[in-house]
Amino acid sequence: MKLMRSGLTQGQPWVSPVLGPLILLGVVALLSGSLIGWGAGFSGQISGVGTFGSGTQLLSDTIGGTNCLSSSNSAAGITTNQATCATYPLSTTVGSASTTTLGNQGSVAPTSASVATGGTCGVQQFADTSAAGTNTGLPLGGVTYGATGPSPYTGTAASVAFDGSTGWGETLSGLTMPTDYTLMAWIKPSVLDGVVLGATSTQSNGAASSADRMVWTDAAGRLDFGNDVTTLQATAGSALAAGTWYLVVATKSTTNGMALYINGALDSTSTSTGAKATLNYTGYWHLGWGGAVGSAFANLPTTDFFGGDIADEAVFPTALSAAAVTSLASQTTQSGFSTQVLANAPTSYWPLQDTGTSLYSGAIANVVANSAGTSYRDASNNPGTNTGTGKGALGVDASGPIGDAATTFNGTTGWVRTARGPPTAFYASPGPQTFSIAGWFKTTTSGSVIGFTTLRSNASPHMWDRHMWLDAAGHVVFGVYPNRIFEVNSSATTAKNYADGNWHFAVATAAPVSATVGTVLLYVDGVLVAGSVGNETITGSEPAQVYGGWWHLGWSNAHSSWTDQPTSGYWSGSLGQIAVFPSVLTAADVSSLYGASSASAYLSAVTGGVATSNAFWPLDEEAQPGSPPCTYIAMTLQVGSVCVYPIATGACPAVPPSNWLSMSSSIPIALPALKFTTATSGSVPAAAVGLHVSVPWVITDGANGLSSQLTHNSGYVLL
Amino acid sequence: MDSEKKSRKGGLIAALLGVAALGLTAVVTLGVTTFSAQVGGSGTFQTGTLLLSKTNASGTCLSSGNSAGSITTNINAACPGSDLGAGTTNVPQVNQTSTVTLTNQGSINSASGLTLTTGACSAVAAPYGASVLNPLSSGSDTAGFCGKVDITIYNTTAGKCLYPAAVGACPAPSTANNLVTLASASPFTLAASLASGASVGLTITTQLDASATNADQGLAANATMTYTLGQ
Repeated sequence: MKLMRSGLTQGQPWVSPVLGPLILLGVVALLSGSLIGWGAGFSGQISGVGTFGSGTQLLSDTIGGTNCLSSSNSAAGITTNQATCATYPLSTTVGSASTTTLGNQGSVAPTSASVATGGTCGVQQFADTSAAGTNTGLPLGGVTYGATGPSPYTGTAASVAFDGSTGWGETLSGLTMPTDYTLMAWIKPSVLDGVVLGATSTQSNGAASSADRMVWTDAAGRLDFGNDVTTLQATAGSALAAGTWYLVVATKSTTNGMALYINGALDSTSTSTGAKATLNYTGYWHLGWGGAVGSAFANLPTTDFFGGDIADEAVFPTALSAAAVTSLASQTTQSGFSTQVLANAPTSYWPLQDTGTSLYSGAIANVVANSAGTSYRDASNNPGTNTGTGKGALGVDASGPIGDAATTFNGTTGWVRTARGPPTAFYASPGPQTFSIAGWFKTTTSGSVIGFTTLRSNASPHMWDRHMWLDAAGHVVFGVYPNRIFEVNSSATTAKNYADGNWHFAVATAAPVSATVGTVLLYVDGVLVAGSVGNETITGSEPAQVYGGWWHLGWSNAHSSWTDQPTSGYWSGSLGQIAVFPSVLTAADVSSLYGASSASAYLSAVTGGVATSNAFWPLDEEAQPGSPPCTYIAMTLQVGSVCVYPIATGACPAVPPSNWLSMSSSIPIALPALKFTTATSGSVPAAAVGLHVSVPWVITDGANGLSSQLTHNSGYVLL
Repeated sequence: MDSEKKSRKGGLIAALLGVAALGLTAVVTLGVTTFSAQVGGSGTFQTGTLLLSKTNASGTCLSSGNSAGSITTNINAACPGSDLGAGTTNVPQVNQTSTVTLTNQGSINSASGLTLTTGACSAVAAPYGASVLNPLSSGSDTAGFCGKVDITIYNTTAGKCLYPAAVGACPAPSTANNLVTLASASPFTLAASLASGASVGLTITTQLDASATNADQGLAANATMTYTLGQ
């Protein structure tokens, strides 16, 4: 007999549902046994956990005892490894030094590190968020962002703290003062003596011919509102208390007069003729300051500066209704309040929720760029005093030679004047006879690289030679005047047009062979292109003319009287790494200089490594920022014992020579301490004093594909 | 009555057997006086041993303890060191190599050969605890980290790439071959057979893939690696 199951054709063996899986397991076990030695036979087995661990690359810095870490200190917390720090590497006090201590907090040593400004220099501001949005406020003096916001608000809110003695906010727009208007602010006075908001006929906080439209607290702790010459004082029952938040609103209309509201409630009114009067003038609003002291108003404060916190300050072009004021006072969040303010169409509205990270770089009345111009250092240290001064339109070429920045010249006005001339040694009479000139150039047209004349200026000189230029065909030319015009031209050996928009390295050497014979050689891109090759050994005099004079960078007088002369005395393009040597560079020296692949290598080469220059202008200084106040601050950055800004072989100069806040520099991966030192540059105009000059600073380090970054963007230097 | 007849018949048989026994005894006793030779000894049946050893940068370990009577399961799951290399500070695109040698330390040849089975990879936080300011920091990409650990395994004895399978040398570590794909491709035959005393050498190359980000810092990828030698 056979066991039969439905679904099976006769002859197929039937397998029990229970036995099936068991058999299958047996087969698997058998196969497994044959494969890995299990089953009935012997087997040996070793197992373990293979582990692959990644390193960590974490950066920290410490400023004033406060640490900032590139990533949060938590397990599985590293994401971008970039942090924004609350600290700032520059001291608030100009003229002071501040140290930033860096630390590699990871397991992987960095392979590169750098410090750089991370944006355009400017001044901190109070944003005007009204529909017009143009009446930006600028904090001056003792003003601090990020104070606690009005207590009635729920959620996040901030305010600005005014120190009561130096801090206030200047506004940029000169406005025709309104006839009907409303002044409003949340205030938390620390001292009941100072002006919350006021208008005067001047932008500054100096003397003004007209001053009214102001709200202040008096010695009795009562709120006062001044319009024209009329004072409206709040009731005694509404006296303010220091340390308490109040919403203060003052309205004035030509029909209803003046009114004061405190926390949304109408406190006092005046319908007198004076209360309805209007003082007409064009003026400026001042935040946390007003021209009250010495005015004709009553109940005057002893100081015009407000002491305490202010938020949501606004000016409306109408007298708000009581209902509108009540609605404002009923808001429980800053965003709700802001919406309500905007619904009433303010002329200007400063929420004062700023953090200081958004900078203003536009024009400021009576503050123009530092007329001292950009300073171009002499990095020769021999003695390193032949500093250059920018003239005309100069800029920055971030893609300079050998990985450095360079200076751009506009071809019509820009050049660099040097400081040292007669009777200074070397530059004194006579000018150098044994000398070399080296430098990198980039252009697409004819122009002058360098020239020596009897004048410090670029006026028409009495004598001029030692000029290097590109002629109209793009050939490099070097000329001296041994009582006759003598030139060496790259066209002697090559027809190449060097005005090709690429960087090229030119070197000219001059040497007296005898009293009447000299040799002049010209190299381009490390190759001898003119001079002895063309048998241009000069005779008849010293190689160069005998006179005392000054070097000019980006300008020469070669366009006057010389053959193969340039089409312009100026340079149109970029120049960098220009050095003058009191010696004749050999072909090997030229090759070595041409082979220097970094700014630091070139610096080392021209300061004794290859030859010792007695003037070296890297021309890698950054451009003056767009914000004029920034031109009044100079700085140095010393990393460990070496100055990296400006680049030097040793410590930074005691007095920062540059007048801008913009730089980028690699720093040793050992991450030594960074010492930032600032100083004022030139004579700071009164209108700029007190401005909060700021630029973001970014410090990075990295190892292979890992990187870490710290950004400091909320501090400032008080000008 | 039948029972009585049966009893008598039984007694007769017993008597006959007793006589016969005596007769035999007499015969044997008579033999003592002759020469004799005798050989004594014992029979022995001995088993072979099949033991596997592994040598990596951390030393050598055996599948069983090296002492009399210590062989039981012949499985050692506690060998020291990581076959993926000792590095805990790896960074992207920098590879490290680890050498592993497996030897049949037993007395018998393995006919069924040597295999490697790799388990599923898992990633855990491995912060750099020595940092004062950041003792806990580690990357957030624990989910993706195993897939960013590139790996190749080269069989130096056979002269071919075991993973990824290739004739000859292994390709450079790449995204395509990582600790996740390795587990999927497991097990691997390292040797079809392994004679007593013979060895198989492996060179394991690992690197953090170029696609790794800062979120892959301070992590550890762990994968079980089991070597089995069969009879």
